[in-house]
Amino acid sequence: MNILLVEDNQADALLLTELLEDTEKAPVLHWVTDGHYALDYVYRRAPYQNAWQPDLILLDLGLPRLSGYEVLQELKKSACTVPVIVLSTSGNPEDTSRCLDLGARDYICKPRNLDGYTALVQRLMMLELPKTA
Amino acid sequence: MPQTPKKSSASVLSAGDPSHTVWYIAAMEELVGVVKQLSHARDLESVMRIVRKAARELTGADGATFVLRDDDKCYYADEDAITPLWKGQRFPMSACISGWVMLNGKPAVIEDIYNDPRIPADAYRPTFVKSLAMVPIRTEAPVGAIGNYWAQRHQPRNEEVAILQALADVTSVAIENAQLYTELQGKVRALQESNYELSRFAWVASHDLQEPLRTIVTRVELLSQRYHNQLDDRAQDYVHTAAEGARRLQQLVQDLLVHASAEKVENFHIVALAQVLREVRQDMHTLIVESNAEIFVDNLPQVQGNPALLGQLFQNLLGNAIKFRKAGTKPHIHIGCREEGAEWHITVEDNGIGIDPAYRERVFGLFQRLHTQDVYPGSGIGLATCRKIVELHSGRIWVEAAPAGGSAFHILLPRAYKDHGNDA
Repeated sequence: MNILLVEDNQADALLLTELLEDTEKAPVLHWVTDGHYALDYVYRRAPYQNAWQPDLILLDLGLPRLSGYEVLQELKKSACTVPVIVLSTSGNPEDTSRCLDLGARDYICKPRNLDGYTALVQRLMMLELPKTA
Repeated sequence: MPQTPKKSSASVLSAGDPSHTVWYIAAMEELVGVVKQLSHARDLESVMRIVRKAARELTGADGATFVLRDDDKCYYADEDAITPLWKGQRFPMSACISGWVMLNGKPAVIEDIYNDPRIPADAYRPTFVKSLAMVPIRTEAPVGAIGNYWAQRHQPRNEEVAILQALADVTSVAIENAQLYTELQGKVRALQESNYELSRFAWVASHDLQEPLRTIVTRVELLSQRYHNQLDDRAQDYVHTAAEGARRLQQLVQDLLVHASAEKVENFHIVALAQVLREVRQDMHTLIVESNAEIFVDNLPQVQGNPALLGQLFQNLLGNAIKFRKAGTKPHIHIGCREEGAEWHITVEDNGIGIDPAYRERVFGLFQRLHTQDVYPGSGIGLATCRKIVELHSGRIWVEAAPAGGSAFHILLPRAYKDHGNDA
């Protein structure tokens, strides 16, 4: 299982990496720090020509250069089928529905503590994901 | 300051002509009406509108002007006349009768304008004016003048000038009031803006604090979980204390964020409080069950407001009622509502530990706490948020002792729709 993590906060990214590595499935995590790199990765543009198609994208909203919303918009336009789960700090209902409208599969508020993160990782590992070609 | 006319009314009446006395009394009555109107005027435009009309009606003149001093110019700001005079024009103080009146601080009464050196005849030739009376607005450092004009030659009588001067005197008070009011409005607006800025700052700061706090909490927890065996008791105690502190800070930041987010929402709509309360109880289900709390809710009305904010209000109040329960006593909470004139009077009563009368106002302040963290943990923000929310809804909130010995929070909210009554 390949997961593309789009996250500009290094501490959050490292924690998720560590917790995901500890799971049974031990998915491969690719981490990029902004929306531009995320699209480059998905469309296999340089420097990601040889990247594997991710099975899941975990997307932060407040990103440098290209925001999470713009990434969602772009992916929707290109009819990208990779499921996207938004991970963000703001839990307000407007953001949630905006993301779902833009094709996000789910919107998850970033947990505040380790228990929350552990539960989040468990939830991600239980997702039914479409098999990639 | 109010200006009092220099002459008493008795002295201006022309002796021997009863019709003048009758006219004078009628004019005085009208003037009283004008004073009433002026007392409601909130800006200079309204003052001018009232005065230019009154100035002409009071004396029965064919025209009236409202002149404002604009540095060394006379500005003919407004007028009411049978044919146009000089509205919108500016003349030098030295070349204009209103200028003379303002410079000298006394009335000018001219029966034949073409025979008076103070009158710039060229400016009058296109107009109907044959005679005039002009009085200063304020005799000390006049701010303007009021003019009366006649199309037929007319010697303005003493009482006409006196009435006009009385009008000018109340006008000066009205202008000062309007200026004060405008100033006040500006200050209120500036205050609102700075409040908004402050609130915005609190929001951004608390929002951005969440991220590093999350990092601290998760790492300290990782340390205590994964390196448990490598830490001696003292080290474990350090880690535990650090984690506790960070979690408390998280709660504080969370509460601050909620407080800062409670802002005036553009669109208030009709909200059924019963529904709001149902949702709050669902959200608080675990706490209610764990604490064995009994909650009784009367029929609740619909109000004009924001459901999320009102939900937060009741969540904070119910949360407090449960938190501050008496040891060994089942929390018993009653939410009541009654109609009181134009308002709904909602009460949230509990049988908890109550609040010392000395602190009943203070508890609504930001960061106000009455207990130590280990007895009753909290950020001291919840009730400040309640007050903010109630005030955003044009209501009032206060606390008294409840009959059952605990606290009774009282909330007054305006009744939005009288006919929609109670909706359970």
